[in-house]
Amino acid sequence: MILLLVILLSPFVAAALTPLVARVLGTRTGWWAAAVALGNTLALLSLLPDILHGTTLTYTLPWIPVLDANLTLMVDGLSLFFALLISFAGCLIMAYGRFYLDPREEHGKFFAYMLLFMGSMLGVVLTGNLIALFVFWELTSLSSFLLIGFWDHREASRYGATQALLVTGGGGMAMLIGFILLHQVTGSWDMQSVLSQGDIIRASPLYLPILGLVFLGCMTKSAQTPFHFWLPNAMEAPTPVSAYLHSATMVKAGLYLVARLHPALSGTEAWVYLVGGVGILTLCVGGFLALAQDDLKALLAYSTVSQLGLIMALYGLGTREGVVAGSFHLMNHAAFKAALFLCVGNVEHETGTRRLSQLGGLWRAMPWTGVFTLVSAAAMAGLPPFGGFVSKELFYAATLDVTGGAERVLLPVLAVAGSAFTFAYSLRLVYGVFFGEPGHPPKHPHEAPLGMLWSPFILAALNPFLGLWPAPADHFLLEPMASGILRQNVHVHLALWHGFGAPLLMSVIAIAAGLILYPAWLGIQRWQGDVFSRFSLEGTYKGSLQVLSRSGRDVSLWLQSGFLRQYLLWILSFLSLVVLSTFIWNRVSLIPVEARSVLSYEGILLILTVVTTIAVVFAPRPLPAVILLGGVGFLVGILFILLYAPDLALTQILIETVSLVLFLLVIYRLPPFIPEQASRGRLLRDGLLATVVGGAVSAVVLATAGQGYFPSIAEFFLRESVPGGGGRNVVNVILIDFRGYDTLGEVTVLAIALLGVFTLLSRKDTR
Amino acid sequence: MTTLLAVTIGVLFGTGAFLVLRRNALKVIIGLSLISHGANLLLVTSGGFAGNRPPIIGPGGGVYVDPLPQALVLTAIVISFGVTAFLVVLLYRLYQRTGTVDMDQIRRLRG
Amino acid sequence: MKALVVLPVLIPLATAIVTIFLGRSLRGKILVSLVGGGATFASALLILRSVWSWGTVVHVMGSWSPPFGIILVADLLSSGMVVLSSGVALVTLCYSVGYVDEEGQRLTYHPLFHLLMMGIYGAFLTGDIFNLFVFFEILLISSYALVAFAGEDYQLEASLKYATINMIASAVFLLAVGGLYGVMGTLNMADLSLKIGGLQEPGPLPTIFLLFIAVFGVKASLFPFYFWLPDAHSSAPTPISAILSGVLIKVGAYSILRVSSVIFVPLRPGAQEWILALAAVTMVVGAYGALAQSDVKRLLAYSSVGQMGYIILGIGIGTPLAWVSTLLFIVNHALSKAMLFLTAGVVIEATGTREMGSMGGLARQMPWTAGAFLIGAMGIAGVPPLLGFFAKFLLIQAALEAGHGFLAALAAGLAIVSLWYLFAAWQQIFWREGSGHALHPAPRLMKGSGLVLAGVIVVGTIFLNPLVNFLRAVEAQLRQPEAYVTAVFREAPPVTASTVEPK
Repeated sequence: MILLLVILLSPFVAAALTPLVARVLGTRTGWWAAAVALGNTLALLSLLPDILHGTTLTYTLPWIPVLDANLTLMVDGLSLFFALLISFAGCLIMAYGRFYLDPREEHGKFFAYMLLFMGSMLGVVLTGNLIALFVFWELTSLSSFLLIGFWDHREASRYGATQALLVTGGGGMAMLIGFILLHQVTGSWDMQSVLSQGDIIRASPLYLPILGLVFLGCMTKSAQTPFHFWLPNAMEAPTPVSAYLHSATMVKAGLYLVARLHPALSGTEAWVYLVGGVGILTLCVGGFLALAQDDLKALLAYSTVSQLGLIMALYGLGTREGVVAGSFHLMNHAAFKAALFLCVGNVEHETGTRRLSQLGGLWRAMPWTGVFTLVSAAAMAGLPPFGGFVSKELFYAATLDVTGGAERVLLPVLAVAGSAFTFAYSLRLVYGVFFGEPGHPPKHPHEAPLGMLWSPFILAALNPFLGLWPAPADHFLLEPMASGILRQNVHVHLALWHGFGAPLLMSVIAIAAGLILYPAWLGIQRWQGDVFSRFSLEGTYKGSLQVLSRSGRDVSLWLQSGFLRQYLLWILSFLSLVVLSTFIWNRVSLIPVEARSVLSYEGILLILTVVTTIAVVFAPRPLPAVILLGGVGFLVGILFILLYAPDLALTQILIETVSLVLFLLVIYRLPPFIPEQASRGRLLRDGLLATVVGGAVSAVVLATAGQGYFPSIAEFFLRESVPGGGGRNVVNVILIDFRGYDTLGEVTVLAIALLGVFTLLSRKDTR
Repeated sequence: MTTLLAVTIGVLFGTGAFLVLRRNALKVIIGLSLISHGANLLLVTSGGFAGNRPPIIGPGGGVYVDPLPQALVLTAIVISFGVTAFLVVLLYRLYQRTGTVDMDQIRRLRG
Repeated sequence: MKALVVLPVLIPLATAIVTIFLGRSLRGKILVSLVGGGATFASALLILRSVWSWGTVVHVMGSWSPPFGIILVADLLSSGMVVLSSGVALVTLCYSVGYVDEEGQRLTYHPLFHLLMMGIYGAFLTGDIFNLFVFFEILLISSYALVAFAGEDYQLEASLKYATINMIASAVFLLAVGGLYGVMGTLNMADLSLKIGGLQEPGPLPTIFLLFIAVFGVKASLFPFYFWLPDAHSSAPTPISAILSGVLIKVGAYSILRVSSVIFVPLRPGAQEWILALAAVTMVVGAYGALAQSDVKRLLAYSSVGQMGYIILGIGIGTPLAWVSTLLFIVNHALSKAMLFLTAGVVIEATGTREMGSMGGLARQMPWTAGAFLIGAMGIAGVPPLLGFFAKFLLIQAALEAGHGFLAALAAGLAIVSLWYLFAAWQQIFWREGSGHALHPAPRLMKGSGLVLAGVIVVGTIFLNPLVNFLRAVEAQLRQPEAYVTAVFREAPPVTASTVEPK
C-alpha cells in the first residue's frame, strides 16, 4: 500500500513547500494546510473498508535496513483511528487558525510547523517499527517546541517551549532505553513481532525495567502526574496549537503507545498498579487543579491532564471493558476538548483576555460560541445526551468490574471524586464566562467571525451525535480500534441508556458532589499551592536546572580556572599515576639492562648535568636561568658524544647555540622574574610532584631501555647503509633515505615555526 | 650506565615539571626545554648500549650502537627547537601586548 | 595507483609552498589555495574508491620496504577520515576567504592552513609510530600559529596554554615511542602488531599503551587533558575553530582507535576501564562546562569536549556496535560541529559580539542561518532523525548490550543536558526581541559554507544505510589486524619473519 507512504509523507512535503506557498497565498496559507489535512483524511477514510475486514495494512520503505530501522507502516484499527483524528482535527483547526492568526504574523512559518507536526504525529501512529516510532515521537516534541515558542518574544513562551522539550525529551530518552531493552528481549524492532511476544516479555527479568522506562516516556508525553506541569506552561502557544497538539493529538501519543503495547506489556499486576494508579492519580490531581484556575486555557490544560489520566486509568485496568471505555472516551475527549479550546480562542480573540475574573455574561454578545461551549462542557461533565455521558458510564462500570482488595473499593470512589471535579470545573467554565455578572474585558466583546465558528461548531456537534446515535462511531471506529489494541475481534454495543444501575447512581453522586464543590473553588484556590507542589515535579525540574547550571558554573570555574599550572598539575599527576599504578599492578620489572659499566668521566658528566639542571630552578634572574639552560643543552650534547652519537652531539650543540641566542634576544626585552610568592605548602607539593614525575619517567626508562624483546630493525640499517643507501654514516642515511618522511616533516615543522614567528611579528596590533 | 642515565632523564623531567608549575612564563618555557632534553636523551637510551662505536661504517672491529634512535632524536631535536622558538616569540608578543609574563595574570580565559 | 596515497600529504605541502611564494597577490593565493583544497579532496575520494575496490593500499616511501622504510597506509578508516576531513577543510577554506582579513590572507593564512591539513592527513595515513609523532608536530605547530593568528591577547594566551600542554604531551609521546622501541625494536605499526601478537609477557607494554592513550587523549581532549580545548577552540579564528573541533580532535580519537586496533590488540581489555572512566568523566565535564557559557564559541567548544567523551566511550566499550557508533559520532561531529562554528561565525559577524545575551531575534533576518544552526544543534544533541541520533542510539544500545547500564544511563542523561544548552543557545540567538542594533551582513561565501555542510548532514541522514554499511565495513576491517599486517607486508614478505619469535 504505497498510499500509506503518501499519507505519511505528504504533510512533510507540504511543510517544506509552505514557505513558498505562503508567498503566494499570504494570510490565506491556512487553507493550503487545511486542504492537505483534508486530503489526508479522505485518503485515510478510503482505507476504512480494509480495516473493517480486520486486515492490517503494511508497507515498508527501507531506510537503514542494516540497523533494521525501516519506515515500516502498519495500519490497523487503532492506527487508523488516531490517524483520522490527527488529520480531521488538523483540518478543522488549521482552517480555524487561518482566522485566528493576526494578518501581520508569519502565516507561512506557523503552518509549516503545524504540517511538520501533523506529519510527525501521523508517523508516530502509523509506523510499526520501534526505531521509526521513536524518531517521529521526538519529532513531535521538536515541532511542539517550535510551536509553543511561536510567539518567541514572550519570555513565558520560550520557557514553556524549553520545558516541554526537556520533559518530553527526557521521558523520550527513558523510553529509548526501554525500547532497546525490549529489543534485547524480543530480538526485533518490528512492532508486530514485539506484540506477538507478550508472554516472553512478561516472563523476562527485564520486564519491569522495560515497563517502567517505556511508561515514563508515555507519562511525560501525556502529561501524567507528576510530569503534568509542562502542559499548562505550553498554553503560551497560540490557541490553535493548544487545541491541536496539547489537547487533541500530541498529548495522546502516550495513550496511543500504552494502547499499542497493551498486548506486549499488560496483564500483570505491575501494569495495573503503574498505569492504572498513575492514571487515577492524574485524574484527581488534574481535576482538582483545574477547578482553581483563573486562566481559561490553564483550566482547560489541567482538565486535559485530568481527562488523559482517566483514559490512562482505563487502559491501565487491563480489561476488555477498560480498553473499550478508554478508547471511546478518547474519541469524546478529542471532540469536546478541541471544541472548548477553539471556543476559548474565540473568547480570547474577541475580548482580549482569558481571565475568568475579567469575564462573565458573554451569552448575549457571543451566543454561538456560548452554545458550542455549553454543549462541549456538558459532554465533558458527563451529562446526557452527549457522548461524554456514555463514556463516563462505561468508566464507572469498568471500575466496578475490578476484582481485588483495596482497589475494589478505592477505584470507584476515586472515579466518582474525579468526575465530581470534572463536573464542577465544567460548570465554572460555562457559568463564569457566559453567565453571571458581566465582566470587564479589555475589548468590547462581540461574536467571532464566521470562519472561527465553523470548526468549533463541527467539533461540538459531534458530541450529541456520539451520545444519541453512537452506532456509526461504534461500528466504524471503536470496534476496529479496540480490536487493534487487543489484537482480537471485539464487539461493542454502545447505548445512551444503560438502565438503572450502579453506574447511573455514581453519575448522580458525581454531579451532586460537583454541585457542592463548585462554590468551594475559591477555598480550593487558597490551598492549591501546597497540594500542587506535592504532586508536581515542576519544583524538581526548576531546581535541578538551577543546580545544574550553578554547579556547572562552579565546576567549570574550578577546573578551568585559567591557571595554567593547575591544568598541568592535573595532567602530570594523572600521567604519573598511570605509570606508577600500572607498573605496580603488573609487577613490571625495573631491573635495567646494563650493557656496560659507567666510566668515571661519564659519571662526572652525568652528575654535572643533574646539578646544572637543578640549578636552573634556583636561578634568580632570567639571564642566569637561560645560561644554565644552555649549559644543560651543551652537557647533553657532550653526553651524546659519549653515547657514540657524534651527529647528535653536533646538531645538539648547534641548535643549543641558536636557542641560546634566541632566548638571550628575547629576555633582553622581558621583565625580571616576579617573586614566586608560592606558599611553602605549594612548593612542597610541586616538589613532591616533580619527584614523582621524575621517578615515573626513570621507571619507564629502566623498564624499557634496551630491553629488546625482539632484535632491533637497526641491524638492517647497519647492513644496508653502504650498499643500499650509499653512505657510511648510518644515521644520515636513515634520515635522508630510510626514513625520509621524518626529515621532510622535520623541515616542515621548522618552516611552519618560521611562518608562525613571521605572522606573530608582522601582526602589529591589527585585528 | 642505564641506571645513571635513567636518573638523569628523571631529573630533567622532574625539574622541567617543577618549572612548568611556576608563575613566570619564561620559567615555563625553560621547563619545557628541559623536558625536551630529557625526552631526547631518553630516545637515545631506548636503544640500549650494546655497542661501542658510532654507527659510521668503516674498517675496524667493535659493535656499532643502534643508529635508529639517533636518527629519531635528530628529528626530535629540530622539532622541539622549532616549537620552542615559536613559543618564545609568542611569549614576547604576549608581553608586548599585555605587559606581563606572570601566568597568574594571563588568565583572561577561564570558566 | 599506490602513489595516490601520498597526494593528501604532497598536495597541501605544494599548495602551501606556492602560496608562500606568490608574494602579496591575494587573488592568486586564494585561487591556488582553493584549487589545492579541491585537489586534495578529489585525491582523497580517489583513494577511498580504490581502497573500497581493491583493499588496503600501501605506499612505500622510497624503495625501502616495511618495516624499515616509512609507509603510508590507506585502509578504510584512514582513507575515510581523509575524505571527511578534506571535505570539511574545503568548505572551511571557502568560508575563510570570506572571513579572514585581506592582510591575514596575504600574510600566512593559506600556507598555514594547508600545512595544518597536511599534518592531519599524514597522521591519518602513516603506518609508522614515530612518523605519526612527526605529523602530530606538524599539525600542532601550525595550529598554535593559527590559533594566535589574529594576534589578539586572548588568542596569544590560548595558544600559549595550548602549546605548553601539547609540548608536554609530545615529550610523553617520545617517552612512549622510546619505551616501545626499547622493548620491541621496531616502529612500524604492522611489524609491532605482528610482534606483540606473539608475546607471552607484556612487561611494561600495558603502561606504554596507556601512555599512548594519554598522549592521544590530549589531542582528543579527554579528561584530565582537555583544558587547552575550551580556550583554543573558542579563541581561534572561526574557520580554524571549525577545523580544530571538526577535524583535528578526531586525530586523537583516530589514533586511539588505530593503536588499539592494530598495535596493542591483546592489551585492549586491560586498558578498557581506564578508557571508560576517562570518557565518562569527559562527557560530564564537557556538558557541565557548556552549561555555564554565555559566549557562543566557548559553548560550542565545551560541547566538543563532551562529544569526544561519547566518541571515546564507544572505543572503550569496544564491541562492534560500539565502534560503529563511535565512527558515526565522528562523522556527525565533524559535520555538525564544523557547521555550528561556521554558522556561529556568521552570527558573530552580523552582530559584532560573541555574547549570546547580546544577540537575539535573528531568526527573522537570518532564517537560513537559524535553520542551519538548529540542524547542527539537533545533530549534536542527537535529536532524531539526524545522524547524531543514530550515533547516540547505537552507543546506548552497545553500552546496554555490553552490560554497562550506568554508562548507558549517563549517556542518555547527558544527551538531555546537551539538548538543553544547545536549544537554549539557539533560543537566545535566534528568538526573543532583537537587540535593535543594525546587522552587518556576513559575506555570502560564509553563509553558503554553513549551508553546504547542513545540506551534507541532511543528505547523510537520508543515505544513512550506505553510510552505516560503510562504517560497518570500516569496523570489520579494524577487527582484522592480520589483514592490515598482510597488506603492509604484501610487497616484501616480512624480512622479520624469522625475527617474529621473541629472543
